[in-house]
Amino acid sequence: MMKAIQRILHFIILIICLVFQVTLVERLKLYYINLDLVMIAIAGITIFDGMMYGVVYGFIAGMILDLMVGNVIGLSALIYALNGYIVSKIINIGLKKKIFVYILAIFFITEINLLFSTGIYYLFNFRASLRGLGLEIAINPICNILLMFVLFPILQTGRERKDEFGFLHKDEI
Amino acid sequence: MAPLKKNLKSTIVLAVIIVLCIIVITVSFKDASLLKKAKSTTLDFFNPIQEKTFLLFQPISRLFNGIKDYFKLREKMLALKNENAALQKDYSENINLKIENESLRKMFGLQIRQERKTLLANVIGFYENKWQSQIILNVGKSNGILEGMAVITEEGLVGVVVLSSNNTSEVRLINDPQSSIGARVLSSRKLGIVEGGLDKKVYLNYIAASEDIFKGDILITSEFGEYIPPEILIGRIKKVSIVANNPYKQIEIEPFVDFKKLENVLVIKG
Repeated sequence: MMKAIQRILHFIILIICLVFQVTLVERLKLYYINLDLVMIAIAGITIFDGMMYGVVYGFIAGMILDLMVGNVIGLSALIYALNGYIVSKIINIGLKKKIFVYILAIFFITEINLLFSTGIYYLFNFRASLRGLGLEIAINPICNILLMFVLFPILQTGRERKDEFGFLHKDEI
Repeated sequence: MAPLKKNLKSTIVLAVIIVLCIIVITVSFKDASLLKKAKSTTLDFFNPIQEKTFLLFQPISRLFNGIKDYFKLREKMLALKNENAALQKDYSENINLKIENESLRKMFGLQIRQERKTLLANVIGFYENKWQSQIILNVGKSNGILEGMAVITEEGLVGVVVLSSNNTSEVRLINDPQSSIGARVLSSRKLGIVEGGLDKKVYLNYIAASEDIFKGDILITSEFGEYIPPEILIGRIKKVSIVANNPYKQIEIEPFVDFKKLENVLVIKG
């Protein structure tokens, strides 16, 4: 019962992140610094609730974002759903310190998102700037990792100690 | 056994989602109108919460923009002082010209320019990535807003409405790489196309390399646009360069509007 409430709460947090992304975060962007609140929320949900929730919530949030402001509808939905899957694979690699796993997960999905979205847009005949992409690849993971330290504690609020990552996945690591 | 079954279930869900996304991407790219209804409904659904959140965060974005501006303050003040002196000089001359112009138009039976009908709208959303720059407004079809209408501020052209739902509309900014607007150089009357770049800069394209274009020239919208009225200020020419083997000049524009600071805009209804 508690878990179900928490999952609903995480979905609400995800939607709030989505609204914050469109109303605040996008306005604070500077040069090539991009923060992706939705992506970090999805990574957190995957870590704390499991792959299934990460993938499904990622799809829903991505689809809403696409329908609100997207150029190619379905692209963010695909990317965020894949993020859930990738994060679930990364948490199984077996690093001792969970903080390193979190950082690694955010680093990888940020880079994958950038490369994947650039590739898809390029396929759909949009131009691609290699200089811009290079800068984003260098800067964005750092910004997203910093944002992770703000968002993950919020997602963790109310969790029992035994539910936390290290215990929940003790058989898999 | 149980985790394996759970994993398989999750992988099947992921596979279904991937297929679904590919279908949606293809449909949206082939015929965007099919998903227009869903887009409008989503925009309308999130309108109230977006409006409240945007208002809530306005002080933060103002503070952030204020910090950014602080470092350019002195330079900006000097530029504004010079501009103000030049404008004051022109002001009385322009009033006289306006009166003269109107009386001549009357004399020759020409139509006197009509004031444009505009509607004030609040910005409730902003979205920017390499391939797009958009804002969301709190007005839509119910307020008479239609796709193609121009959006301006007192500083100049902001963009064009690309989607209008009942209570919300999406505006493509002029620095969006997909934006393309007919423009005229105010001093030389030369025509070109103002387009956005992937670097979020705005460029004036299709001006032959042999043409004379100078830094500081002002750009206005041309009279050939289907929906955008003529003579709306766009920006000032910031940099002119010639690229080898390119028949056109590369001209960078500094828009008069700071898109990150947009809070209220006017939609030109007619």
